Order: sequence, then structure tokens, then C-alpha cells
Amino acid sequence: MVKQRKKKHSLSAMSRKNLITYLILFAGAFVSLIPFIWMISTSLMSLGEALGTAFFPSQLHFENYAEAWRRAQFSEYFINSILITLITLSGELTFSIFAAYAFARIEFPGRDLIFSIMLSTIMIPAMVLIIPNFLTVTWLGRIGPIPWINNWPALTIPFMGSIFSIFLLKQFFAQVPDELFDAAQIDGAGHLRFLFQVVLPLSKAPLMVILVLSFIGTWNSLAWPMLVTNTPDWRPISVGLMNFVDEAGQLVNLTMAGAFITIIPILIIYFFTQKQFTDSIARSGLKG
Amino acid sequence: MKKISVLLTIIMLFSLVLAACGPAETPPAEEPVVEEPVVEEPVVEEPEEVEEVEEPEPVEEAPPFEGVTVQFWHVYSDAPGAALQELVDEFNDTNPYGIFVNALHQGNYGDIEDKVNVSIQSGDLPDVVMAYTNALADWYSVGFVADLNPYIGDPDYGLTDEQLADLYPHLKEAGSTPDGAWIAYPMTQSANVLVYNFTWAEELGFAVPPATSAELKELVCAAAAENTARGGDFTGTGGMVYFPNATNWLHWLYAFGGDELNDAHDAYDFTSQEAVDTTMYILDLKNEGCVWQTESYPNPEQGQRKAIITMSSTAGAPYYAAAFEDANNDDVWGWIAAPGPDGTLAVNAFQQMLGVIPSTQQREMASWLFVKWLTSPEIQARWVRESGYYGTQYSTEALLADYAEENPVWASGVELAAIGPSEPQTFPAWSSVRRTLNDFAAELYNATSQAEVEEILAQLTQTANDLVAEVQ
Repeated sequence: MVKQRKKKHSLSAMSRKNLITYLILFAGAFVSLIPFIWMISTSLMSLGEALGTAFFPSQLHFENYAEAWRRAQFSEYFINSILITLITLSGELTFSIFAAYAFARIEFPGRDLIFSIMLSTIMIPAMVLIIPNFLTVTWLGRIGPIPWINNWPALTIPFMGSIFSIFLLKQFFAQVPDELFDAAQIDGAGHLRFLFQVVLPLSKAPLMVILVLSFIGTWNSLAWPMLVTNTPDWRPISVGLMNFVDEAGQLVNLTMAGAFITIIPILIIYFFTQKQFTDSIARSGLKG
Repeated sequence: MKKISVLLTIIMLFSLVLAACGPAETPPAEEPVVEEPVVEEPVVEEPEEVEEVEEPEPVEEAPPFEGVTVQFWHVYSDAPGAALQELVDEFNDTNPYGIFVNALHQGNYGDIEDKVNVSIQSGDLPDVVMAYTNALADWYSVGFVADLNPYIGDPDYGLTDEQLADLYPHLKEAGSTPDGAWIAYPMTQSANVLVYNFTWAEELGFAVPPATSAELKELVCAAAAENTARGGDFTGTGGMVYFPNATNWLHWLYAFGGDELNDAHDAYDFTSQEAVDTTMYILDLKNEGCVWQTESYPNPEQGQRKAIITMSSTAGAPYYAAAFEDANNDDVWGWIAAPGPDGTLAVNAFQQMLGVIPSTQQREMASWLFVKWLTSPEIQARWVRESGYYGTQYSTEALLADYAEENPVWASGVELAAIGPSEPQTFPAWSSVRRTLNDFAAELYNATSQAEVEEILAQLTQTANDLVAEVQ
């Protein structure tokens, strides 16, 4: 009887604790969702209503989406963004995988020093790098066979060498047991085969983190694309949103409709990689 | 697992394929073409000894700037961008000089500033750039904006005395440096004005807009009293919405007859009696409950009759129209100037300035010819109809009588655009001084006594002149 009461007591304490936890989580989720709800709600308002303090639209203006699409020239910019993101992601994954593997599993002189120097560049604020990067891509465009400015190389290549991605992958690759490499060697495998057949399949989680974070970063970038493009030929989707801002204010309703359109691909990517992404966050100890 | 490996392999292969075949397929997308100036003098070759000399066929003389491409960076996208492109196309088709202009939208003013700053390092600069005057002044100080005086005064391609006299009087000064270089030529104007509810003012017994600051106080206090009497959400509203920043404070300073410089015009001086009076006037309105602040742009409040006067750029007209429409408010509203104690009227005028980047004399002249065409009264009037800005010349105004009739709000600002004045954007360190002034304007709004106001203004003067010393 006493045992039962004790069990009952501990259960109710447990459920009370759970309740508090869920309440906190619910509050956190609600706070995180408010900007998102506000964005969708404002995107359906008239301009006058959007300039005011209303949270929900009195009438739904779905036509804002069509207007935002047209006025921001999204049909053109969308394709550019997809191409820029695909090229950047491909390059970043390729270079990061090979570089991380070399730092993690191949002995060569100065390896740790080079890695430390590369790692220290993470500390440099991105804004500080803008002018040197701009000068570099301009110079490369002048000496190379293709123009870099106003073309895909300037928009993608500078972001293919991501120290963060190399660091993250290196940490995972280094954890792969040496015994596996020895076994692979006995089977006649070299570094490349070991990388593709053993290491990469084991590193699905960090690869997903890199994929999602890089996708978001590239998809949302604005300052750099504006700097290295002169015409709309290669400008990404975020540039389209600027069409709704002028010196006296902002067409808030259209901006929000456009913003929602631009994040749809990010939502789709996240929807499909959600499990791996959260797994890897949990495993790597990364915090948002 | 296998799928992931396949996906990764595909992505890497895709990248390699792109890297391999990209160059051949990607056209060099409209890179700014740096063209050598056309040599006008014909090359005279030594004639070889020939017995029979044939008569040369008459050759048609090439236009003087044939082959010169002018890169023009501007801030307009969407409908105004398309309208500007149409004008540029027209120039390209019709100009007799053979000049081709390549107009490129480069984002907003901030983006253009960033872009020019980095392009100064790389050397890939445009020929004509649209920018704020202070940015042009900064670039001029390091040799990257040309003095337009030689081109404006050119006997063949410059402006006549009549054309110069047609320009609103404050604009030459607004675009000139203290040493007399004309570095910024106005494409159009906008201004910080008072947004005024004519209907409500009439209901309160003010048939015409206030002519002096005392009359304005009477009006805004009457509106505030009416709203406080209504109660509820309206309590504490009704008067003038005043956001303490550099633009608004300077606007009132101009109405009170003051400016930012000392009598000799060689240093900043915010300690004038006019500056003190301006601040005390605003504080008086605040203490009487006749001015108040909103968290964001005050368009909705004005539409809902929670403010009889707000302060805004004339470029904000569409936002006010939307706010009045949303509030189902049919009141007549428009722009007025801030009145000073003696009836001086002032706005804080801004210009959409064009600057020419130094290159060869021929390219600079070609750039000027485009600027001159774009700002000529007929073309400017067409641009005003598309953009809603104000012209810079009396003759432009005359061409827009029908437009004014159709757009009464715009019409209410036509006379104001000619008044000015403008901030001393070409004076050394103005960009930094203006940023500082934004902070000081907030401090001034919170001052509690005249002594404190005077102290803040003295500090502001000191800081401003220190900033000048830093850049010199």
C-alpha cells in the first residue's frame, strides 16, 4: 500500500515535472513561431493595414503573392538562386570532405599548423573580408579565362572553402576507428575508397548539418551578391525583395509575401532532412 | 545509407562538370566595357610614291563621341526602374553624339555606396553614379568624383545662362563643395515636410495652414486637446508626431532661421540662438502635450486622426495614401513647410544627385551630356510623372500643370521643393556629423532646461568639429 502510494506520488511528481517542461517548451515554440505567423499574416494584408498594428488581416489579400512574385522578378531570380546554391553546395561539400579527410587521417608535415591557421580565420568577421575577397575575385576575373564579376564564379567559389565545414567533418572523420582503415587496407582499399565507402556513410549527420546550414546561408545571402553583380543575370532571389523598399518606407505586405516565397525551398529542404539534422545537432553538440 | 553516398557522389560530379564546362557556356555578362577614347584626329600616313593619285571618296564624319559607353549606376527597380530604362533607351537611340549609356540598377543608396567604395579599390567604377551628396563629397575628397564646372561651363556642351538661372537657387550650393567644385548635379528632389490634415485643421477653425510657429503650436495643441477629450485610444494623441532625429531637428532649425555652420562658414556651430530657440520650441510643445512619438512610421496614426501633423519625406506619399484609405478617412491632406517665429518657411530638401567619376576628358564629357539630357526640363518632367519626385527647374514645374491637377498631394509640395534649404552635405565630415546629430537630437528631446540644451549643443559643436579635424 505504502509502496503503491509512493509510486503514485513519484508518478504525479514526474507528470508535474513533465507538465512544466512541456509548458516551457510550448512557450519557447510559441515565441519562435510568432515572427513566422506575423510574416504570413502580414503578407495577406492590404498596405494600409500592414503599416498599422493589426496582427491578423481583416480581409485576406492572396493577390499579394502574385504581385510580389511579379514585382520582385522572382521567376528570374529563383532559377539563379537554385543554380548558385547547387554550385556552392557541390563545391563546399567536395572541398570540405577532401580537406577534412586529409587533416583527419593523413599525416603530412605541418598538418596541425596549417589546420590551426585555417581554424583561426573563423575568428575574422565576414564584413572585414568583403574588400579583400572583392579584390581577389576581380583580379581572378582579369587573369582567368572567364569573368568572375557578374558571373557564377564570384558568387559561388569564395564560399566553397568553408573552414567551419572542414572543422566539423574533420572532428567526425577523426573518430572513425583506425581498425576500420586497417581492415579496408587489407581488403585492398586506398584512401579514396575508404573515404567513400566507409567514412562518408558513417558521417551522414555532419554532412546534413553542412548541407542545411550552407543552403540557408547561400539562399539568403544579399550583400555579397549585390557587390559582385551589376545586372540581374546572376542575382539571387533575396535581391528581388529589395524592390519593395524605397527611401521613404517599405511595402511591408509585399515584402512579407516575398519573404514567405523565398523561404519555401528552405522549409522543403528542412522537412526532408529534419531527422538527420536534429540527430547531428544532438550528436555534435552544436547549438543554434 | 547507400542513397546518401549516391547523392553526395552526384553532387560532387555535378560540381566538377560545372567547373569543367562552365566557362565555355557562360557569356561574359555585360561586364563594364572600358573603352579607349576615340581618337578624333585622323591618322595621316606618309603617301607612297605613286604616279596616279585617286580622289578620296568623301567620308561621313563620325559623331564626336562615337563608341563611348557610359556606365550609369542607379537605385531604381520595379516600375520606376523600367521607366528610367525607357528614357535611357531613348537617349541611346536619339543622341547625336554616338554615346551609348548602360543603365544598371545597383540596389539602394547604401548598396551603391558600398559598391563604389570597393570598386575604388578594384578600379571597376561606373561613369555616372546616383548617390547622396555626402557620399559624392567623400569620394570627391579622395579624387573619385569629377568637378562638373568645366563641363557645365563648356561653350559647346554646357548650360546657358538661362538654363543655369532656371535651376532652383539652392541647388548649386547643395551640390558644391566649400572650395567651389560642383560635384553633385540634381536629377530630382524630395523633401522632409510636414504632412498636414487640411480637413481636420479647418474643423478646428484653422482655415489656412499655420504661417508662424506660434500658430502651429495653437493648432497642434487644439488637435491634442480634442483627442484627449475623446478619450480611450485617442488620449495623449492628436498633436504633432515628432521623432527626434537629425532630419526633423534640422528641418525646424531651418524654419527658425538657423543652420549648422558658423558665420564664416568654416566650422560647425550648433550653439546659435536659433538652435536654442528651435529646441526650446519643441520642448515647449512636448511639455504642453502637443507633440508625441510613435514607435514606427506615423502613417497609420495620421490616417486615424491621431496626429494632425507628422513629419515625412515627400517620397512617403503612397504610404500615407494607403493609411488614409485603410482608415476609411476622406480627409484632405498634403504637404506644408515648417513655419518659423517670423513666418520663415522651410523644408529639409534632399536631392537625388548624379556624380561623374573621373576618367578621360572625353568620357567625362559624354557622361555630362547624358546627365544634361536626363535633367533637361522635358525629360525631367516625364521622369517626375513616373517617380513622383519633384523637379529641379522652374521650367519643369511649368510642364507639369496637368499632373499637378491630377495629383493634389504632389501639387501641394511643388512650391516647397523650390524653397530648400538642404543640409551641408558637401561640408567635411557631414556623414559622421549627421550620425552624431541623430544621437544628440534624442538627447535634446529629453533635456529639461535651457541650460541643459545649451550644454548639449556646445557638446555637439565640439564633437562635430573634432570629427572634421579627424578627416583633415
